Amino acid sequence: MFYLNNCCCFRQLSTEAVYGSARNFKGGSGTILDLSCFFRKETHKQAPAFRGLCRAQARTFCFHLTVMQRGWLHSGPLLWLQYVDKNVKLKVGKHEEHRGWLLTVDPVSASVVLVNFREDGASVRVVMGHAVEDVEVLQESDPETAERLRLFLLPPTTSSLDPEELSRRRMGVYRWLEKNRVPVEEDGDSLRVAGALTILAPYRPEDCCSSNQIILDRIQRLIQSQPHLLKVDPGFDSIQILPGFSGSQEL
Amino acid sequence: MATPVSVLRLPKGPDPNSRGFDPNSPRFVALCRTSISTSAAEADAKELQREQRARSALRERFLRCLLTMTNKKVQFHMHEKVDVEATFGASDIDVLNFQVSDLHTPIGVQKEALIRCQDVISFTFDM
Repeated sequence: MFYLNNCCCFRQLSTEAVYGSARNFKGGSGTILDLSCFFRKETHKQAPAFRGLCRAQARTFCFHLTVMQRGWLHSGPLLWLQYVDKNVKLKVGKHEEHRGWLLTVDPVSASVVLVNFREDGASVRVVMGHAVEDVEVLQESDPETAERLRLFLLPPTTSSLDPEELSRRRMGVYRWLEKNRVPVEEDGDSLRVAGALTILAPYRPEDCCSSNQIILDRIQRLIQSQPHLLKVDPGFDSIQILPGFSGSQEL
Repeated sequence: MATPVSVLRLPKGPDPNSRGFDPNSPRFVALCRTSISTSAAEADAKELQREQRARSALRERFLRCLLTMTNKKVQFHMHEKVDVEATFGASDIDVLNFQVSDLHTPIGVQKEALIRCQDVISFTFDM
């Protein structure tokens, strides 16, 4: 309350002092003090230089305080990203507590994904954003765990194909798309479709990248229905026409 | 004599262009709006770009996590200490509902069900 009423006094304070006070303020009265709003309101009256200083200070505050101030749901992706790959303690509701390596935070629902590694795999816990009360970092990320987390969800890579096979597949997809009147061009190792979609090696339907859902769906289905893809799997060659289907002569 | 029954309006579904839920629907306004807004509303374009990059990196990891979860046994922990098990199917784009199969509720097994995410505190699965 003191700071809100007395702006001059506030101006004298160092970063740490205000940070500490804001904390006490929160702990003492249970009210949340929004420093960034306060800054914006007050700085209109100040000289530009001072305003700049205030902004810079406000930014450092935001970094430390926003999770506490705004609540987890409104912290924003940049802040959430700070917690990725770190070992965290999550306060959920009043009594629950969960620990684990933070894999990611869903930017839409603010849900947190925690991973705990075991000898035979891992257990994953997803805590819904609305239930998260507080997040505390227990251990910083180390390169080894970060790599382990990164590989955790990636689909198995198929780097076993040799360049010759890859170029054969690329040309196959290229011709198939061209045959279907789809504008396609080669761009190094990848194929570009209508400037909106990229197909990366090894050119399967799941290797298509596009921000346009409709184009992505169409091209994926087109590649799926590519006839000579069937030859890749030897199992398909042995499929014979069932006797029942050739029975038209019987009529 | 027939008694008049009030009409229950269901939320508007996804629009035919599959761009997700109508931003003017009550459901979207009530539940999603805050999640889409940027914190860098007044900040410069660079800040916005940084934020978008962070957003996409986080979202990709989350979507991959959902993908690995499909057809796995998932334990849902809900309010009032309710624990249920189900086979995870899918989630909608704004993570408001989960589609699950074989939901083991305290009163029996529900073959197919939608779980409202607001009712879930957390869920776990093994890999």
